[in-house]
Amino acid sequence: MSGSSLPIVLYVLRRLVQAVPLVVGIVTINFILIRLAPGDPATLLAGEFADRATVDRLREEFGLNEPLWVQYATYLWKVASLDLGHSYRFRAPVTEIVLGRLPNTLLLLVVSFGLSMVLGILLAALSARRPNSAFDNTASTIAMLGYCLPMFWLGMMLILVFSSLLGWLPTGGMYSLRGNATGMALVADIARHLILPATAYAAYFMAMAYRLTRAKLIETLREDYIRTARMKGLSERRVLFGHALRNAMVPVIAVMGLDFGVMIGGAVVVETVFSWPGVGRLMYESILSRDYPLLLGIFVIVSFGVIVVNLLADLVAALVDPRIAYD
Amino acid sequence: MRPTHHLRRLLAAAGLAAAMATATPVMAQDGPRFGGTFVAAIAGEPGGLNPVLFQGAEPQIAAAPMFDPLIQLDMVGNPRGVLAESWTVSDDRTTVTFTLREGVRWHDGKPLTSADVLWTFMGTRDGYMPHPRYRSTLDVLVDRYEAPDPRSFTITLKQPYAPFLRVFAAANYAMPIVPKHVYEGTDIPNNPAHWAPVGSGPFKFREWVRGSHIELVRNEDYFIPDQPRVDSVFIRIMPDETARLLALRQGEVDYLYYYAVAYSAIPALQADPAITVTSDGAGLQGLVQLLALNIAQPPFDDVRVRRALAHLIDRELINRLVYFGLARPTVSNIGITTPFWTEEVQQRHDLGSAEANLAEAERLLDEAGHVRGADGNRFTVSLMHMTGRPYAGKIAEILDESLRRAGIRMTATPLDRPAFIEKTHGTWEFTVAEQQFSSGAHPYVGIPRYLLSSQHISGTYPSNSMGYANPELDALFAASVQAGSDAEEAEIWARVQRILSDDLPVIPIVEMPYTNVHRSEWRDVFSSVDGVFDVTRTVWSVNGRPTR
Repeated sequence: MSGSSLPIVLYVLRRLVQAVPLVVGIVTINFILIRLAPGDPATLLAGEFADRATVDRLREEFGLNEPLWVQYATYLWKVASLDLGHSYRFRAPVTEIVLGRLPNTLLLLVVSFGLSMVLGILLAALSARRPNSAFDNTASTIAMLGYCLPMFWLGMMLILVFSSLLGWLPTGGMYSLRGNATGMALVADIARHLILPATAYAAYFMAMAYRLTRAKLIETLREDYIRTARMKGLSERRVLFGHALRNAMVPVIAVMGLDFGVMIGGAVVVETVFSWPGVGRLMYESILSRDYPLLLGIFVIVSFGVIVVNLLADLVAALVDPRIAYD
Repeated sequence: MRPTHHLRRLLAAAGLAAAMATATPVMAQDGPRFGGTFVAAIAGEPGGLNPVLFQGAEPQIAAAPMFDPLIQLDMVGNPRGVLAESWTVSDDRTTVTFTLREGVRWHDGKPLTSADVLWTFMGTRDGYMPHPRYRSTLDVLVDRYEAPDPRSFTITLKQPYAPFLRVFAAANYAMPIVPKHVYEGTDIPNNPAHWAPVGSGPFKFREWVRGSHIELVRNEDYFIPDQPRVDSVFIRIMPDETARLLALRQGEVDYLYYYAVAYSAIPALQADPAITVTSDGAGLQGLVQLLALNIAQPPFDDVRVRRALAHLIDRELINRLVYFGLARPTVSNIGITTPFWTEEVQQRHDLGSAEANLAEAERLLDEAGHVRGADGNRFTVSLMHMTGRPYAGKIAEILDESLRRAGIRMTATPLDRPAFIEKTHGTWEFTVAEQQFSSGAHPYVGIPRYLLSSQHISGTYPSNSMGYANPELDALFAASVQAGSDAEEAEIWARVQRILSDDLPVIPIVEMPYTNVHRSEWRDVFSSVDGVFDVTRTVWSVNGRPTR
């Protein structure tokens, strides 16, 4: 290990260790919150017309008759042993269920996030060059709309226009059920299904990226070193993308990293509207069925994901701005 | 079977459905065509596909194509053999002997015998694989199940019960037969076959893409000739109501059962020639929307207050504003397609004019001691309802307007399903709850389960959450299974309905609309009068091939 990479490794390790009490805190709060909500998973799972004995048997099987603190301690011990338990409803390991759905959500997130960052930053750069120009005003208005429009409404409108009215894209789901696409055809099929949910998802984050980057860029473009760069005869493109944007990106990366948690919240809405088989919908369905282990398991995995993404955001910020130290 | 009054009503309902269905230009067809893929959408992911253990619309739609019952009802309500080739009833009417079809095999190639049938029924009796609906209704009437030889299966009743076969064949009670060799000796709750089933039905399980769809393929060795007609079936999981509707209109989905479609969308669907709206397949649902009153606590512990409330309910207005005029206002707990339905015996609380109803309600409330306060109000009640359906809780808004004139205010308390069940059937912390109960194939299986005094059980859903106890009613329910004739039984159920309209532990509002929708290119979607959740056995497309 080279001397220069050691501080990074130590920094990452320290942050991961710091994440442990955070995850415990998240588990504790969520454990209490979902138990406060009325609703008995055993009654729900036993189904309509089930007799009391069936409900009691399920409560016994799930350990729901134990005192709450015993249930909590048992769960924490399991999490510490990297066992997230079994879903009440699906009768399968939580890890298996969540990991089965996670790639679908990640696909949606990565594409949406990429789309929102690229478009948001690009538009912001173009706007910041000439603030208050017609282009800037138009882009700012669009960004404001993207920021304000509720995700579910935008999703519905996209389906209405691009699926119902124009018939260009599917209304939802991840696959065309009537085709037997494989290989590249399957990739293309999934891509077609991805366009609308990714657009609905990206609108808000694109607006965020746009507004943050634009504001920071306008400020940066007034700095002395930018004037110096221009005086040195560098092209406007070089000044903008080579110097100003790089410095303007630090707060953008930090905020977007923090917004990863918001993105997971958005997944619940977008995946429901577009019947996308991801973790967001699974979370929503787990709440409705009071599937405590599955819900807590999702919280554990997602909160760990948020912590990792924030860590990555910090690392990227340090990469972009060498003044940021690993301490 | 002799055409009965009930049957005539069914046929009338079918005629009504035909009138309701949108007229579509139909290509001339000689008969069933073959091939293609049928896509049905469901609102939520099933917990599993074992048809005995997992009940409700979603698991039933997904699992029904893979399994068979012994018998089911045909399109006019007569029992028809599926796994059973024939059946006989003993002279003393206590023993039914089913003869199974020869050569039926499970999807894994093993032969299906009466040992499988016996094992399935004993699962409910002994509790190792209970069918909740069957257990609480028909199993209690049975003395014993036997399989004297590989093709014979007998059910011996404790005493003669005339409607037994009819209820036994109805979709909600017909026991789907599951393979003994797959389940016996295993950890049944966790048996992987729940999620990748081995059945005997017209379709075989192929794949379950969690959160997306379940894929089934045609069972080429199915024992009914020329069935199924389509090559594959997809059960698509679509939680959002609007998304389901748009997918149907786009042709991505072919079928939606009646409560997967918003009533507000029905007029537009009826005007679309590509879509058929029909109540076919929803016979014997008898789904009545009612207000359940907690009579264990004030103010509804006083029958005068319950009656005052009944005087103030405008069912026509509720139907028009909440159900877009598609429902059927009713004063009966029994649905119109359920035997012994009547609306001629109930105590009527509508005195003919709003003024007369208001005056009577005010009189009853004053008499019960609920006098108006300084602000003109007597008391406020909250209507607890489940979220998730657009019409849920709307009754509260309309009732608030009606009740306000009599000094009662009504608010709505929306809860998600688990919380609603807990509050109304667990801790009984409610005053009024909006609920639906199905009277189903027969009032005996639909009504006592939520009105018997012994059914006031915490944690069992649905049950007598109201805390209602009337020994006369309990006795009538017990007597109904011993009735010697249809006339005697009709008298019992008439008396039951009269008592309920006097006591009012629940107030029926409307019978729900049955607006199943499918793409118009599909024919024979329903093969049974109550086959709303079993729609793949006979379905075929006008765009299919003339031969297989």
